[in-house]
Amino acid sequence: MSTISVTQFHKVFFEESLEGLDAMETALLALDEGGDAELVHSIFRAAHSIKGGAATFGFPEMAAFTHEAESLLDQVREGRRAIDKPIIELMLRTVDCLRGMFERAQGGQPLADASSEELKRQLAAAVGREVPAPTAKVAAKPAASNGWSIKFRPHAGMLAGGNDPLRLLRELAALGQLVVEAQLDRVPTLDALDPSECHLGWHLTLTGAATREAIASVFEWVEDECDLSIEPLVAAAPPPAPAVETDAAPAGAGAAAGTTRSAAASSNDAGSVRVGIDKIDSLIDLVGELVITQAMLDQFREDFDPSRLSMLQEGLAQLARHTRSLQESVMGIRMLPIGSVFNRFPRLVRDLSQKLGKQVKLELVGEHTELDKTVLEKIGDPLVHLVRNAIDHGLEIPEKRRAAGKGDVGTLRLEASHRGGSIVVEIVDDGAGLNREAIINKALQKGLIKSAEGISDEEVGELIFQPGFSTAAVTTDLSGRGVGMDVVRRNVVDLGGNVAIKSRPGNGTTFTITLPLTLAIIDGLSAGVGDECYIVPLVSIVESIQLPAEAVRSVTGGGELFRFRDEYLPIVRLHQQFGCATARQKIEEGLVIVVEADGNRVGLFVDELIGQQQAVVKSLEANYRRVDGISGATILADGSVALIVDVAGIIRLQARRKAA
Amino acid sequence: MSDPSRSEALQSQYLTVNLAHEEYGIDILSVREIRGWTPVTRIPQSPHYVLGVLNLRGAIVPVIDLRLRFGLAREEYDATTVTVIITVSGRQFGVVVDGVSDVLDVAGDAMRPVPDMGTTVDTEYLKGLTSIGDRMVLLLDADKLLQPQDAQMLEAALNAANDVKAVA
Repeated sequence: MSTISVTQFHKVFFEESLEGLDAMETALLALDEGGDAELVHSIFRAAHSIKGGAATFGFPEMAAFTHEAESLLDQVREGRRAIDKPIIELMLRTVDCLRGMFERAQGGQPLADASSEELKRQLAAAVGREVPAPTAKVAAKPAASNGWSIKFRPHAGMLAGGNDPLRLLRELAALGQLVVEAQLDRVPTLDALDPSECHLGWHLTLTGAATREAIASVFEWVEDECDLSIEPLVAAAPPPAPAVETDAAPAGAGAAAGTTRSAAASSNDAGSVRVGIDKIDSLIDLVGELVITQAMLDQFREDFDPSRLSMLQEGLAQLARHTRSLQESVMGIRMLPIGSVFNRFPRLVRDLSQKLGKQVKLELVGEHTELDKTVLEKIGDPLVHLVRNAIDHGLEIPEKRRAAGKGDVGTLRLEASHRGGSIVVEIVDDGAGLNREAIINKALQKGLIKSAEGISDEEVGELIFQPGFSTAAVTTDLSGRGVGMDVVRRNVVDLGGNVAIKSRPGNGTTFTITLPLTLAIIDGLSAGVGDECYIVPLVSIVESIQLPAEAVRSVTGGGELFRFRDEYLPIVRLHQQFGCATARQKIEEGLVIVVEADGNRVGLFVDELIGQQQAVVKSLEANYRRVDGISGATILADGSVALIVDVAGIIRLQARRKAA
Repeated sequence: MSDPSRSEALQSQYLTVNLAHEEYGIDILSVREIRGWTPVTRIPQSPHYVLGVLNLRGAIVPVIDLRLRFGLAREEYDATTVTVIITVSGRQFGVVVDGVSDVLDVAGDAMRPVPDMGTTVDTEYLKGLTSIGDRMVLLLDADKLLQPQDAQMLEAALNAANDVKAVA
């Protein structure tokens, strides 16, 4: 047994424990708003499994730490103490601290640090405050003794329970310097020896700063199956009981922990996906169908005569159908509900609003909207940023709200929904809206604009996405450091989406993030330019038209415009953009595809439309580099490569050319 | 260069390819496959020596013409023209050459430094030369052929241009 390394289970343990912590956090927040007693049980269960796991998988510090939390929860669970604000606060910090421990554990760093030790003391103090009995426990501070004498004698049947004394000893050795002395007095003679029983006992001397709890937790699983005594080596005088101070949390701790956490989490996002059994089952069914179809088609290879042509056609149609559904199912595996990202916000909003003295009601809508896993992982940080901004800058303190004739409680709504081929996430607050004056002043000061004359509201909104832009008067640890909205936009654009802002002065701000449903497959229209073929994503196409030569006006500077409904749109000749030599030059011989991105429209001039098709998006960057105006490549039915047009990029290039 | 197999004393194998009557060697450990010339898809805004990209079993792989890379005249592609697919630091790319001929064993001490002249090729892309009988083989430094660094420089310049872009 000792040859099996438990490290291989660490990943699963981490994953499950982090889920457990999420559950604890959710339940604690619900309790904070007056949830029922069942929640306490679920919190206790989560803490208990983390403790058990930590002890089993060799994280004694974590086990010891969780043990304190569990003791506290146990008192609550048994009704010996009421759950109140300070306890919830303490438990929330425990959750944060445990998350930090898991992160350090993943990085192979020591688990305990000063803050976790401090929190552990507070937990122990909270337990001891109302139950005098375990004060001895409280006394057992790290510095309290310089060693322990442990007498450990397993009962004969302990091994049958799967407990390996060797593992326990190894764990103890990790706590400090361990001197082991085996007790052989009960070993029977060879003929009477039952090898499945444990006949040995040990006298252990552990020197070092280990706490009694840490030692006790090592023996956690064998408590009932052994005689155990843990005595301090020297009779050290118990230190004065620490001040019982459970609230008064260092205010910034939560937020700061939040930022470091997300930074570390995003660095290792290879990760895994949990997939519902139903999705797997449907995949298996589909593969079964596919195999049957393939077998049917295989018959034709043996003996084919023209009379069976219709059967062959039918078989091929079936194959196409199954392939398509298989593709959809496989893509479905990558789709996860956005709720997993939304879940972190109740806590964030609670902490922030307390800190800033604002009252905020958080509404989450559309948590079941499914999003590609890659998108989901990368959208968390931008969302956190927007939510922080909304609370910090957007929503006002109650006095101001009252003065503006609004209720004390500000509303922050996160809403996710499907809209066409995209997912739309809106962050809506009913705060003061953008401060036009401050933004324009700041932009003038930074030299981003030359004068405040004639700046439209959209342009003001656009200004806050500029690098280094912040109007916050005071730099706080929340926002105002000038890194922010530009990073948010860049992250979202990297995912193939975009961010728009709409401000209603006095009534709040709405940020709208539009994201592609999936990054992997798009519907596209293939367009011929010269002897080349480009794919234009269907979602960005408004319509395609054939223009007579006289409909196009040349403007000074070489640009071309045409009238589309009520507006004049610039024409981007794709063959010029991409340098295709052999393309048609005359407007009336080709087609103009009207495309839209970020609210801007242009007409793409191409030779012809070839057809609609699904395109599996492949990266150009993997082996080459990014190309302006190209978002990726795909493989056509004949095996050749076609490039996918980056409509937003082309519109940006066009705008830049116009500005130059 | 971190690859221990390339250390001086060790013997390495090189695939020799023909290009304008000269022989070049490509470290065989970086050669992934050799395939006949197939048309590629042109990529806009690329250096002239990047012919385009091809589909290598689902991966999009850029292809460069070694003649154009070395500033030689372009030759019509024919039946012996081949594309050598090379993997360097995780990136794959194809190199079009006139033909492949041989695999050579080159002992570490048989590799000579490149004299600063005398070839049609910029010595920057060479890591040494060796002679087999009366044949001289120029050993290519595959890392430098696609030169991702100038791609990155270009990108950095473009980003800088984006940032400078005035709002109004």
